[in-house]
Amino acid sequence: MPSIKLSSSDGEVFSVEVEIAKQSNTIKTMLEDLGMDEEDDEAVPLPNVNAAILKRVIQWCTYHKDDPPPPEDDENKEKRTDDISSWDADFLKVDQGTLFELILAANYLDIKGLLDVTCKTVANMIKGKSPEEIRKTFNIKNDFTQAEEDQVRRENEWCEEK
Amino acid sequence: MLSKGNCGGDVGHLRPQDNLSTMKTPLVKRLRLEPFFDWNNLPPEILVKIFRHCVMTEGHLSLARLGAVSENWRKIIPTPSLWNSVDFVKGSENFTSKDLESVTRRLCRYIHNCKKISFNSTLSNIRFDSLLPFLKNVTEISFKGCPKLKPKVLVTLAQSDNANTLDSINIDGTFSYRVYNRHITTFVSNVLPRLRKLNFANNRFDGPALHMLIEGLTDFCPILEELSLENCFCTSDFDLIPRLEYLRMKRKCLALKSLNLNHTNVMFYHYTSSERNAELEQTTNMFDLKEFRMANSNMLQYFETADALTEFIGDMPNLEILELSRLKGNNSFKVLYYYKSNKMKYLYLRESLSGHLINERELSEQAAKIFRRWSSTLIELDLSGNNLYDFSWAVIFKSFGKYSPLTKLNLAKTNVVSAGVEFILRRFKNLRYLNLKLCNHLKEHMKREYHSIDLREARKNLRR
Repeated sequence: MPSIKLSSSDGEVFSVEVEIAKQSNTIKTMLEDLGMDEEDDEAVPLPNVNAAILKRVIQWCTYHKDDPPPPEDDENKEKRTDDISSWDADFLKVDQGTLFELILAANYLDIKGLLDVTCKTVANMIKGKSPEEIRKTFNIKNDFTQAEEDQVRRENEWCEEK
Repeated sequence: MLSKGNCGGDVGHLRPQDNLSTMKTPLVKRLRLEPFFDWNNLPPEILVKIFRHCVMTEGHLSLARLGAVSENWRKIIPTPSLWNSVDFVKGSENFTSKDLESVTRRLCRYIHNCKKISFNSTLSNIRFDSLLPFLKNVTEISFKGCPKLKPKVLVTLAQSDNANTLDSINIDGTFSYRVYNRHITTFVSNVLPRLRKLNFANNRFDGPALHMLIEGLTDFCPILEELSLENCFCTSDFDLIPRLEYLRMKRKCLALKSLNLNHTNVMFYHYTSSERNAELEQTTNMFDLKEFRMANSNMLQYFETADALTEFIGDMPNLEILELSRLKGNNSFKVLYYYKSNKMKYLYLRESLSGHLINERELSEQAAKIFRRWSSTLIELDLSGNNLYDFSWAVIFKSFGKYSPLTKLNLAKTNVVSAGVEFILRRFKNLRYLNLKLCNHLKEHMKREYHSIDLREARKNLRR
């Protein structure tokens, strides 16, 4: 199995099978379009992913290496949010910081499956919550001005706890 | 491929950021500056993805809630890709009617590019009139659960220059008012010919209005694939029952795959022999039905209609789903005898044989031929409410052979005996559901529903 080296933002180098790494479209493009040699000893620098997250991403890609490629366009297709596999659900039992960084890493590395399942997890955390509860859950500051706040409140009286 | 030496040099300025869209780059920088994670500043394209999942599980009404979280989140709401397939029904039960009204109204400003839309109970005719000009690209509309809507909406749709792409309408149970001729006339001529799916189930039709719709079906419906008129018309007045020119319909509704006439009074037109010959001469291309349902119909009150039914759907080679329930006065399996389809998977014959049965030998011969024909394809069979000869039951179940894929069998309210049940348990290895409720010839403890586990248990007891 040919493998490549990936270097995390904090300088740790991981050796990964090419087929596993290619689930990342970003890495795939680098290898294919930009003519990087698979046999190259040079590690591919991933300055936006730290070692802890990269390790998890590789773990996810390894488990999912035999998955069929995800369908291209998902905007018109009906998809269910609660169909997260039990392995993925266990994999994503992490603190919010890790989940957040996994989303960004999946986005940056362009790994559709991982981005999908992490976004679904967030959607499930939002489910049934009022705006105030969502802010609390994700530690989001209410950045509406007082006038906007009044406007939003008027429009959304129903979403506060009754 | 670059040589090894060159490659090393190239990689030095080949930074992965170069591959990123400009959208992603600022965020990446921000992430590196800020050690803490900030959900409010997720890149918009990721928020859109999250919102899309929310919309799919909680419907579009949930967007009002998400938009109230923060300014950044609010900016995501108008994103066109969130509004392709709009569902205002899901979650509407959590609102008071006043709140539902204002929230739906506010969100309606984003529907102008949607392809599919399901309206909720706040929709009135006036409201729909004002929204229609914005529905330029809509292909599917569902009015299911819009009790305020009156049948006049059919006229609105027929007279509108908008919604030209509309090809699928769901009006299931919508109208509390009766549908009259004046509602349906222009609809039949202007809208029906361009529909792919039409669900009219559970509305009350005036006799002539249904007649007009039925006539439309034998006129020009080139792309209609699915039609339900379930539970639309019931009358005791024989003269009011619309007659279906079924031979004509076969060659006019060429794309039709599914037709549901359950609990709606329609009768087959009685062709004279010259009319029939003229019709049959023209019948070159015919529809190719996959599903046909007709329950509690007046159609079979008259002896010749069994033949008409055979003439209507008997020669469909791809028929897979067939319901012929509660046929008044039907006393044999003749309605199923001459079918060409050898693909039947779902067969519903609830209370189908209700009259004074034909003799035992003839009935059993019919049954043997019918069930042997479909023995290797039937997955679901409902024979509930039928009282047959003991011998006929035996013939039915023996004609399946040893390798039947049958998984669901409903024999509730039948006169099947315990020896028959034992045979069924032994023979149908794939059975996952069996209903023996209210079977008067069985012992009390046997009259029940059996699911997978119960069936396993019952088979075990049999071996003892």
